[in-house]
Amino acid sequence: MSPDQIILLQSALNGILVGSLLGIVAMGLSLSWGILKIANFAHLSFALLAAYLAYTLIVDLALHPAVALLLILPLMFGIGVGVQWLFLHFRVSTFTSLLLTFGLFIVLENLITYVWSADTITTRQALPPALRQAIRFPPPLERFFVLPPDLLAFASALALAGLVHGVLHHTNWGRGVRAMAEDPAMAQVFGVHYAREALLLSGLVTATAGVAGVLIALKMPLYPSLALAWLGIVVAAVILGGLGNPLGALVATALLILIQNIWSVRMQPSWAPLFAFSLFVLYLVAQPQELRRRWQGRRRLAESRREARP
Amino acid sequence: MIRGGARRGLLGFGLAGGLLALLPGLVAGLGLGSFWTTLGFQIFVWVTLAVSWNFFSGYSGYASFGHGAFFGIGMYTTATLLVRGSVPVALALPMAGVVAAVLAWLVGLVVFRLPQFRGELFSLLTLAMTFIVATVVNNVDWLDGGGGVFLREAPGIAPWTDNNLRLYYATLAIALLCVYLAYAIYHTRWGQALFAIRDDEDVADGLGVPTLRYKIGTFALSAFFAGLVGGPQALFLGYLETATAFAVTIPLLALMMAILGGATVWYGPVLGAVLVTLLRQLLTQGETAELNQIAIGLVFILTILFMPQGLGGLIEARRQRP
Repeated sequence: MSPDQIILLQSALNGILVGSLLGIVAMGLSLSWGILKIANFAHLSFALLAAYLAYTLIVDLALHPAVALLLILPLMFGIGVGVQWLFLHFRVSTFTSLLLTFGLFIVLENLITYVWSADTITTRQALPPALRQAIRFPPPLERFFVLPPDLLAFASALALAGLVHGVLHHTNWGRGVRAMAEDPAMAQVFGVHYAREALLLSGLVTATAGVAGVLIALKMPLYPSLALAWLGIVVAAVILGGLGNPLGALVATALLILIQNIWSVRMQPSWAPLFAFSLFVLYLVAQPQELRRRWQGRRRLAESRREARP
Repeated sequence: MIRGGARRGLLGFGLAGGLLALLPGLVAGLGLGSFWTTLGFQIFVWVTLAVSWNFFSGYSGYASFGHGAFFGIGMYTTATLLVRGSVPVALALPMAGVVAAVLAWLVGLVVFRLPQFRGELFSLLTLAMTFIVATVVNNVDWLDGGGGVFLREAPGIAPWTDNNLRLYYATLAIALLCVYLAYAIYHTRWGQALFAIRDDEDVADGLGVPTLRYKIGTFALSAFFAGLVGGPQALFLGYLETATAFAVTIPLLALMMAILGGATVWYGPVLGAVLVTLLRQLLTQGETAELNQIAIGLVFILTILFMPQGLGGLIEARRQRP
């Protein structure tokens, strides 16, 4: 294999690994947008907030990353419940939720800058050695390697995707939640308690942002505008993956970042964002008839839900 | 041309314009520095952005994040014409608006025909458009190419930037025209058509309102003003880079101002823009920039939750009470 090919394959591999990490964030956004009808862009800020909290716990308080995760999960769950309570209490429409969460996005970015400063920070020096050493592939692929945080992110993404799929499709609670997404008023008639399930789901979804956050803190240097840097690709992936379809969102994120990485090896890296956004726009413009009907159906349902809710 | 309700406002706008035009003389007479003309300039830029956002997005309900793209295109059009083309300033400024309007017209031609682009998908599309435009500008060498553009050496711009007085008058004229247009649209059939689109587009369509034409035309006009006011802003800054020219916070701030002031009345965004610009000025002087942004973000969130009609909505409700 020529060095050129090795670089290409290694960056493709990195693309899939980083893509699955951001894919965890995309899965959460897809769930809250598709099921709760909340276009929660602050979900990305919550992941970044969790990453900064993990930094403080791991570096300043010298805790093990696993302990940090255990502390962060309930906190993020609480934030998710709180935010959803606000949305329910004020009967926020999908469109207004977009404006609100963008406001929250700005507040959180500046809050992070205020508390942790605008400098780039990293947990790298404070990590246990086992998390820092690159793992080489066995021969004949000994030229390729993965970093342990990447591997953890990949495994977590797969595990979370499996878990979400299992819960949504094979438990009664999951069936109720999916019914809620299809037709909230009808689901309530059949005994689904909308407000309670929405609060619980939002808490769980935000907790997955906590998982992503801790992994992000292990994986990459942090700076406050990171959430903004992810915004385009994550939102594009959520739409391309099919709204309310977490597996689709995960795969789409991994693919988009994979393609961007390959592009950056062969062409000018600064052109890379153009690809994802153009694909996104083309997809929206050329949406097949079937998908178009679903979008319109969703909007009507969302409206009927707002009217139906007591 | 100008009929009925729209004509009645002309006198008021003439008076307000005259007073604001005399203000720099008064400021100079009192011995105050150019700080005040610069503040006036900034207020006019934001009034233009918020009002032009609102007479399309606020009236029709199609919330656009594309205003950042149009404003940035305006800045870069002016900069490119001045630096690379050595075009006279008086020609480069209006061209900024024309280029932005043409792009909006082309985008509108496609997007407004497709029924899926209502509500949040239209917002996302215009956001993606902003990212795409920024990436192109950042990569095309004769526009920017990644190194930024210096306007200071461009021929003929010195009299504009010497004491910002010309910029004050240029943006005053643009802002007055823009606010008057918002007023005129609000009080004519044009505004009624946009309100009908906001309330229920399908019904409006069914009743024979030519919704497509109104949407495309108003969107292009709205982009025209965002681009037009980008010209003076580029002269004022003297240096452009894509990260700040196309910052997502710019359309967001214009939107916040409009909603805070009241997106359903013509004068709402004027109130919002003046208040938020003054607030930002006040806060950056004392505290850190982050606290300033946090405060504005929180005010925005609270406004949406507790006062969705904005200040203008409150005022209208009080006026209509017997």
